[in-house]
Amino acid sequence: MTISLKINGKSQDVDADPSTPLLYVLRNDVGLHGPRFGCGLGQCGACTVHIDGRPTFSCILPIAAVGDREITTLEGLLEDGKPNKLQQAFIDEEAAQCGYCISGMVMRAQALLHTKPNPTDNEIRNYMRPNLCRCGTHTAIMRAIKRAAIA
Amino acid sequence: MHEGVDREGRQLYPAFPYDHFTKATNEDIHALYSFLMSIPAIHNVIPANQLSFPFSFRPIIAGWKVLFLSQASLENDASKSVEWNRGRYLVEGLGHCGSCHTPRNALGGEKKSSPYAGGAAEGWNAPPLNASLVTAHRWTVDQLAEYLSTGWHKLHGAAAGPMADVAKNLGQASKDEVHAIATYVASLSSLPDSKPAVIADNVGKSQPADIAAIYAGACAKCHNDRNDVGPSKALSLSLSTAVQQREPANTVRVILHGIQSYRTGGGPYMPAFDAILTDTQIADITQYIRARYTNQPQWTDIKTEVLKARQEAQP
Repeated sequence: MTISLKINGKSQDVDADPSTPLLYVLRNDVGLHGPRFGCGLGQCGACTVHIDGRPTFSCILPIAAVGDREITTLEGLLEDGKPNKLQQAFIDEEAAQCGYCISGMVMRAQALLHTKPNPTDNEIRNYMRPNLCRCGTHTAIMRAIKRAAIA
Repeated sequence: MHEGVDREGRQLYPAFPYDHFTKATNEDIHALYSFLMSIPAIHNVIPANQLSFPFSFRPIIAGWKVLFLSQASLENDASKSVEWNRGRYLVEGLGHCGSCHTPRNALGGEKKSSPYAGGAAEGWNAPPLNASLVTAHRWTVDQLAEYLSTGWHKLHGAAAGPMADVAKNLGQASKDEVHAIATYVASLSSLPDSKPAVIADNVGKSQPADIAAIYAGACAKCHNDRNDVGPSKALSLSLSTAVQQREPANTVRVILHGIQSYRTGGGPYMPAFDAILTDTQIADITQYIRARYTNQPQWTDIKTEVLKARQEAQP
């Protein structure tokens, strides 16, 4: 079945079963490897993308449910092909150990900064809670988000 | 605690459930007082009363008490076990289960004519604890005890909404006390032990194909009908108590907000679908689950319930 999706500002037709999770389509059919497969159960946040600007687990979002809502992936945050302010802040703070969760972390943090450009530490902690990091990179992630907020 | 009057002699609103605490013994009240007074004091400004007249006029509560406060203590029922009597003392008194699980009348008093027939709490349904509760499997004493102390049972589902906090607290209570509570609560429904389970899966019933696809992609990876609850402890929805209720309130709220209370303890977990699905999709999925996994009548006005639940503050 052909389903039309709006991904990073472009319309894209994909041919897949309507129950297929958006994550699989983004990675396998569209070739966007920003969103990662972590748990596949909406528990870890590695697959986080924006749907109409809201951070969303793409592993439990079937493509039949996306409709005409706008999908933004990690790649969609680039500005003129370069890392945006938040992505650069993650690089500058070396906010990654194994790095697997980081694309989801960036997506969730970006959604926070869109609605609250200067969040408090507590607001950051609460907002980031759905995304898990098993390496314990939390303090570096915190620094990166604050660096982007202040910059 | 017994009379609903504060230190300065002011009448207290029954949002503080002294209509139940009044059943607690003096010894227990004194023990609670000693414990509370052992906690270091903090500076706290009490919020102003925002009720409108005449409810802002505290003395009218005295009238409410004449109607709805019975200070008579619970007499031991010699025909029942010691454990049942202990359970009744905890449930009717400090546990104040009826504050949510008994319906209230227009004046906010518990309807004593229909005890434990189901009530409301913070937008959620508090299901009936009497025989009018519809479930796939009947609750046994041991199942109730496990549910109350862990917040989950494999044949009934997870405690969510305000009940999640109750289970979290009871997880710290002694097993014997929780078992006594379960003994009394199970006796309220007095269903025969032989009541057969009713497991519905009306998968053949005609369903909109797009909703079935959304269910398959968003829900069925965890709620997989194979009795394999997985790391999220997700049941087949044919077992879920919430899906069998008279109103969609709890099912809608679990889908919208998920279940995260037990994340640190490794208990049941469900992601919030508030950003994943649209209001219409959540309403359609709710109806799909109701039609597929129960033999109960269809719910009405689910979309209204979704919009209402979105407005509620989340803890």
